[in-house]
Amino acid sequence: MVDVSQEQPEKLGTPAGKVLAWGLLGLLLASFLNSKILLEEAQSKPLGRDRTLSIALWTPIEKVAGSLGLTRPQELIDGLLRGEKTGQPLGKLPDEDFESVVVEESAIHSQGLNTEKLNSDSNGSEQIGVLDEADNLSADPEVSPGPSSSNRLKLWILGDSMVQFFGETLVAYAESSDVIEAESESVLSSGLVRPDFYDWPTRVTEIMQDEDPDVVVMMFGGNDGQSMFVPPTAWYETFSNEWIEEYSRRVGEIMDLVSKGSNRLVMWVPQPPMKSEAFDDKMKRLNLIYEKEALKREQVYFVKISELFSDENGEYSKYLASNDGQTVDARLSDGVHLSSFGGQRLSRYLMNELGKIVDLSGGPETS
Amino acid sequence: MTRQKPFLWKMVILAASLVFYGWWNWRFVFLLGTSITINWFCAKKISDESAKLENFLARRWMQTAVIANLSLLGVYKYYDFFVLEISNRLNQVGFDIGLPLLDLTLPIGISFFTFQAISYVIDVGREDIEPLPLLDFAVYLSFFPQLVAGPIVRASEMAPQMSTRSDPRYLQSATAYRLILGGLFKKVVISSYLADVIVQDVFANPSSYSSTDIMVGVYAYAIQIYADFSGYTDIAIGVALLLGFRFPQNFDSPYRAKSLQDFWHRWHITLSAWLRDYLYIPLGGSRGTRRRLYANLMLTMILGGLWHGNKGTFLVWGLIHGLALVVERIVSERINESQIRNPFSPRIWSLIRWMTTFHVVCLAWIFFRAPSVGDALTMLGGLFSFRFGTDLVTSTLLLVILGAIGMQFVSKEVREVFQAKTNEVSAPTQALLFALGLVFIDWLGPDGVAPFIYFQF
Repeated sequence: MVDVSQEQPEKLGTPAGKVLAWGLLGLLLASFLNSKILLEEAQSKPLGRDRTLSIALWTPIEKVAGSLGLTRPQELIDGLLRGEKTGQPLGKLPDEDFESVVVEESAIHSQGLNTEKLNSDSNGSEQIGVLDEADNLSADPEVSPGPSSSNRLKLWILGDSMVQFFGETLVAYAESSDVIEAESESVLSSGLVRPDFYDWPTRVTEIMQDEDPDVVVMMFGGNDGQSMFVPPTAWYETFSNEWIEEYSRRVGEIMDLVSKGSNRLVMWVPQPPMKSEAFDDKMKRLNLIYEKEALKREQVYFVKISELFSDENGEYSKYLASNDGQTVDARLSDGVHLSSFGGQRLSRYLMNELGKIVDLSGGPETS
Repeated sequence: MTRQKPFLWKMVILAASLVFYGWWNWRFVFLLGTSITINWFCAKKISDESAKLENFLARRWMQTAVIANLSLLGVYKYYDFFVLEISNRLNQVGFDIGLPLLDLTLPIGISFFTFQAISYVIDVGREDIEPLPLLDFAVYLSFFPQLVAGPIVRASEMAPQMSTRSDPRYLQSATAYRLILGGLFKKVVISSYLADVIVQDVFANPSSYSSTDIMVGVYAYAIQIYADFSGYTDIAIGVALLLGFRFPQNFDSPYRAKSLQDFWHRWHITLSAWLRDYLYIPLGGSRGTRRRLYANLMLTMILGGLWHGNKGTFLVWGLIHGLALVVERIVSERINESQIRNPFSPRIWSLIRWMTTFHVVCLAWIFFRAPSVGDALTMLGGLFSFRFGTDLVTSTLLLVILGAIGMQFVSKEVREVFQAKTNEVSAPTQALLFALGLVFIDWLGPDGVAPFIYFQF
């Protein structure tokens, strides 16, 4: 790298005005050449002013660039580098403001649920019900006959960025036995609300067909507390009636994609307590949806983990006591993701829970 | 172009820098503002007292400023770490003191602007520079290109450039564009690629991978952190150039170093210079006994490690570099004293020195990157388990790593020829190449790029 502090600037350089003018033109050219990607990124943003302004900016630029053929180079290179995109297209996203959704109060009609308002939104949207423990259909599943070293249990761990911080550790714990083979797959910024960004239902279908795991550990939600687009034109505001209904459907769908028509077990890991109160509130609401959908399905096991990552008051705590009485940080400084210790703690717990359902004699020591 | 009107220019840059910093968390703008105010005031008092020949009072103000800066850093960065360590150690012997933990969010760039502030007050105390007017100092400390991840610029380097108008007819745009594009390519393409294909997996779960995968993963991390950090620095220097400022160089092909001492003249040059001028030399440097010198080296490197963060892994990283520097000195002195004839040819000896230096640096990187010391030791165990075969290594990956190391050895003359050629390019062509470069980098890069590694410090 050149040491610019030593260069002699006399008579070496370009007038500032020219640099500014040509630089801006250069950036404009770059914008045109890249306008398709920039428009897609704008459309993938959460609903709000930022998204509206970005789309308003990039749509005409992309149209002009397209008509001049300036987007062709990017399409060609994208085709070469990335191949076909998988997943179902959402259809054309509206350029104009989203449809306003009229939200009506309605009761939750679902087997075994008590309805109780947690808090009220200003639009009077429906609340997620509180669950009745007595209706937990999968609370005491029967212990299945165990795998062996010649017939290993196939464990697949998948989800959003939270999985990145315990998935590989769980793989290590699982594979330290002779009876489990495991894989971990995490996709940053993904979830169930934005299949346009990453289509988990399609990916899960592929995994079930190609890999046929016996147990699937799933964790979503960190990126799902945002408004949802439902083709062809509807935008649902977060935690509105329609949003809850559609999100519940998507959660149920992905549970069914794994478990229906097979003996596969799903271990659904909810979100732990979060440092930010607003974010924690969102995650708690999502967790209720997960638990509700899990209760409807015998093969889906909702793993209660909030106590693992809470203080004595049941609230978020970065620091937790380890087994040997030391205080260790279980979360990263972002107040969301798990630290190495946190990942180990969760992995051990999941192995223990799996051991209650599947006979893992000869599996790893998890205490 | 507003440099013709310095007051306007400084206000615009200050506003832009504060907006830039506040974009992540507006509350920390007040923290930065407090640091600016306290350090400026202390430096003024230092200068006033020195002028009155009240050196004792001047020293007191300097100590106050340094303590204030270190306290700020200490509270945000190290308080919880030390409280946890003390509590856990006391717990082990049956004492439960229950000190409160703060769990504070670390302000971005705090290590960098705090060190800049300390260098400023000490330089004023040493009478190396005159105290700056408040606006100038505010611009210096908050200047957005280097605020969040360096380089650590001295006031003596920046102040003259603020007071002396740069000639707007001669903006080094070609160099700036080259640096910005090069920096983006290193970060967006190289660093992200290596993180995605091998580094993240190997460091997350080393026991699942073969010795081959671990070894290549470590080499890949060495390139990743270089590409990430030097990439950011290049962008910062390039942006500063476009604003008419020349920043000091921060990296000089560090992986071509043939000794640890040489490595630290090439890696994060502004930090090592800071540690030398404000820690190592005041401790006594190489004056005094050999033991004193070795102790100074060790202490400087350990504190340099802790500067990066409050984990034991950074402490070990600093320890490895300190030990390596000490051992290197001892070996070098013994060889010189004994006058034993080197059995190796100069070329072979040069290769041995390079390989040794590179691998000591890579060993230290294991601890730098690993989530804990235990994980780093697990990784070392895996490395020497001699389990061969690979799940992750591809020819593309090897090409990228070897290519990146090879680039370190491109001679200065070749680089200067390339730079001279690009400097001759006209402004429209520069802009066109810059635009095409930006687009190309975006197309080659992954969807979503992780933050710069050194932002966390």
